[in-house]
Amino acid sequence: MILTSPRLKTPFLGFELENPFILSASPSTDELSIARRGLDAGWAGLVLKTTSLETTSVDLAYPMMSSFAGEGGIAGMGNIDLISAYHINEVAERVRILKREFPRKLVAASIMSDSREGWQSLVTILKSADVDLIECSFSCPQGSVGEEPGKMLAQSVTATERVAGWVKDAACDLPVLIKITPQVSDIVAIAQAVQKAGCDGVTASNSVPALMGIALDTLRPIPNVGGYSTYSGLTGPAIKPITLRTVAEIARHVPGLVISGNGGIMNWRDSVELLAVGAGNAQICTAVMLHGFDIIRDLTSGLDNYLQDMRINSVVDLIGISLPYIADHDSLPRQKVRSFVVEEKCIGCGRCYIACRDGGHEAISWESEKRRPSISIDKCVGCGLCLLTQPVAGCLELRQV
Amino acid sequence: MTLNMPEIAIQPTRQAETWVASEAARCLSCYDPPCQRACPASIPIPEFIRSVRTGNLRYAADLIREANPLAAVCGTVCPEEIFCQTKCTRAQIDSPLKIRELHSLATLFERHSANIEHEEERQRVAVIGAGPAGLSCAVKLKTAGVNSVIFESREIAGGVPRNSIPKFRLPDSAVDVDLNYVANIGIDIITDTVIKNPADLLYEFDAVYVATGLPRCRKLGIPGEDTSGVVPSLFFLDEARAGRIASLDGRKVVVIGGGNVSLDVASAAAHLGAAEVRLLYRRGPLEMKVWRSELDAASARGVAIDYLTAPKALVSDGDCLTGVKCVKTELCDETDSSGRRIPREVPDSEFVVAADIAIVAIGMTSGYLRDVTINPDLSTSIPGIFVGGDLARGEGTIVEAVADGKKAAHKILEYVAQVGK
Ligand SMILES: Cc1cc2nc3c(=O)[nH]c(=O)nc-3n(C[C@H](O)[C@H](O)[C@H](O)COP(=O)(O)OP(=O)(O)OC[C@H]3O[C@@H](n4cnc5c(N)ncnc54)[C@H](O)[C@@H]3O)c2cc1C
Ligand SMILES: Cc1cc2nc3c(=O)[nH]c(=O)nc-3n(C[C@H](O)[C@H](O)[C@H](O)COP(=O)(O)O)c2cc1C
Ligand code: SF4
Repeated sequence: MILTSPRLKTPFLGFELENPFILSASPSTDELSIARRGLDAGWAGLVLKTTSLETTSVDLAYPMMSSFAGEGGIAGMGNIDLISAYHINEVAERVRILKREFPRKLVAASIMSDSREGWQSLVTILKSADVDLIECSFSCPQGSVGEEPGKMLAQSVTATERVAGWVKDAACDLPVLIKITPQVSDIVAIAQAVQKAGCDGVTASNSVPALMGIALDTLRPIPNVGGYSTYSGLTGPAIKPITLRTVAEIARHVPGLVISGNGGIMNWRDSVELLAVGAGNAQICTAVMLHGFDIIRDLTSGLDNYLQDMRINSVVDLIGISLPYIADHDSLPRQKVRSFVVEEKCIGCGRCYIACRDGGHEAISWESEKRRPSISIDKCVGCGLCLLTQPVAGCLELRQV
Repeated sequence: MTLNMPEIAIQPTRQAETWVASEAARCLSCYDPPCQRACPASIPIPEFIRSVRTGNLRYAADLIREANPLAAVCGTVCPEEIFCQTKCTRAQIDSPLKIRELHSLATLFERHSANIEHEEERQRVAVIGAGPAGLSCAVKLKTAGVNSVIFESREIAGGVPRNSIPKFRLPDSAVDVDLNYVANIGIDIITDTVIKNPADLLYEFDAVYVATGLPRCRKLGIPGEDTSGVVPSLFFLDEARAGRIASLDGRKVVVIGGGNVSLDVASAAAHLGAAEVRLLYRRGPLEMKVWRSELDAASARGVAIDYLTAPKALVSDGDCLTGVKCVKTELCDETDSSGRRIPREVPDSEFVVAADIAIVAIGMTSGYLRDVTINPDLSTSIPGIFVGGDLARGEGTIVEAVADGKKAAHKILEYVAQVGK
């Protein structure tokens, strides 16, 4: 069942997307046959994997994928992938083919270069292929070309503004998104630089540079590539809170800049959160790489059912809905809350007791015979730590007093 | 900065219960899912479980309903121990998922279905029998744009699930969810109407789907079978389900059989307060073809099973039944066509089991469409007549009857498209 619902229609940079879900630049968009299946499955559009003018071959190292576990599955995925091995001419040809086959889908291409001429000729080639949108990778954790070696373009305000300007000059009316990294000291300044350069928006944001781990049996870093490793780009569930913050900051402080949200969206619930903090659509990579294109059916029906339940008319009305409630710490209301044990739900595990004893305020005492915690209303400050330990939903409750 | 922070006046969507969340999280979302292949109705099991996991329960319910028009009934009594669950890959890690329970839970979140209207108003197909097979065929025809009408001999539609399966296993409320769905999408069921000869309907309809099940009970063929107090299984179950047997308080009940139906009969008798319920079975426990869940339920109700015991005659005091004359059996080394060892009477081992009521549950037959050949694709030797369910396959299950209904609907659609030309 592929869902088309008027509620899901998402206007984005002049396009009418059938739903807000876009395949982000990744292996899922690097082969024509794979990309085609993605669009067939019901995705509203895609960003073809980043390409360049480079004539030398892209020198990949394998294995390139890794992950780290959380409680109940993969918490984060790491990759040491590089850009596409396909040359811009090949990618431009795919744009033509996909546009012909899927005229109503958003077909975007991602580019990366190291010179003004490079960026601009990439744009010119894609323009002649009638691409819908250009995304510029200013944030690849491997091999990005920044101000200084080893630094990503989007880690420098001046480089971002300058290069984004070159791209927009060549693109003219063609919409341009700059794909940024969350790993900067001032995300607002970067977004403002994109806006100043005249670009339409940002893709916020790319993977987060990370060291995926050390294998304890060999003491070699992960992923093990012939005994050595390098830093990975971290994606998936672990980076969702970072993405939400990045998107919210830009939405709150850089009005008018379009945001394509990306990073850690695994299901429709995550997408609701992303849209609620101001993203105009949701790009997805890790969830598709792990679970396949068909998750689009749960994404679309889940979001649609949710909007219906919440009496929100459309995706458009959801965008930015939670932003008014993000405030600076000093303007948060000071309220008096206390934790309470919900007796009928307590199973007597004592986890809250340990947490408050050693990480809270020694506000919980333990009745050993009854196996029940009891919370002192005078000692409890309402920090909420104990609630994080609850084995049963709702066995502890914060209440205003 | 001044803040205006009213709580958003909207309710979060319903969270699945803790069990459901953790059970659903165990699903491996296998490719080419073996569970789905083992489901006769081909419910997209990993896909609906993913949606259960994300809290998208209504979509999960939609997926189940689309694949299985008897979603609520199967969610309640489908023998998962012979279908989906037996193939769960997860069993190789720890234990199989409780698929039917997830299915049943998701089904509770189904939204109200609307009438499916067609340009074509005429009812082109007649369906005989409003059991699982007939209902499922009518639903599939309707969703494909062909209207049908269902003729049902009984007062209440729903076939065996609604009329015979004990209420304590399958409450009316579950069956009604499915019957309401059928009614809501605009399918007419005409009850209290016996169709004697399906071929007659071909004058009025382009095609006829016959799914009349197995309404007759096999007879023992031993002396005394007409004695008052000797009851066929379906009659007993139907009366019990309809609430027409107030109580069996203090009565001694003997059930003769050995299949699932005999266990339902025995359980129902125990449920009605019988002083003693004995199930007589002519072979041994290994030969008994029953579902574990049924056997456990019967044992839990105190049903005693006498294995290697065959009835010889029903004994009466002239008016009423007093007991069942039995003989002990032993198993030969030879096996029958079902692969089970054949029982042989032990000489001079006759004895009488005291009984006020004897219920005969040794299988069911149809007596319908006798001279008609049934093809594997569920068409028949009479063009325009299609079949399915227990009538076609013998004693089967609800989900298999549903699968037959779906499969036949495909064939019927092809057929009426040709006839329509
Ligand atoms: C006691 C019992 C317990 C069972 N328990 C389970 C279980 O737990 N799980 C499971 O999966 N399966 C179970 N089964 C099997 C299951 O009920 C059947 O396989 C299933 O109902 C077959 O569906 P059907 O549509 O072919 O026939 P039926 O359900 O028998 O429906 C046939 C319908 O046709 C009607 N009819 C018959 N003749 C005519 C006529 N001439 N004109 C008009 N209408 C007519 C009948 O009244 C009936 O409503 C059980 C069966 C029995 C008997
Ligand atoms: C293996 C792999 C390759 C990727 N290649 C690219 C790329 O070529 N260009 C790019 O802009 N982003 C690339 N990405 C980043 C994704 O597009 C996306 O920004 C990131 O994975 C975060 O989203 P997610 O959490 O939904 O995966 C890649 C990600 C992965 C996992
Ligand atoms: S995912 Fe495919 S390409 Fe990658 S290692 Fe496994 S089999 Fe090979």
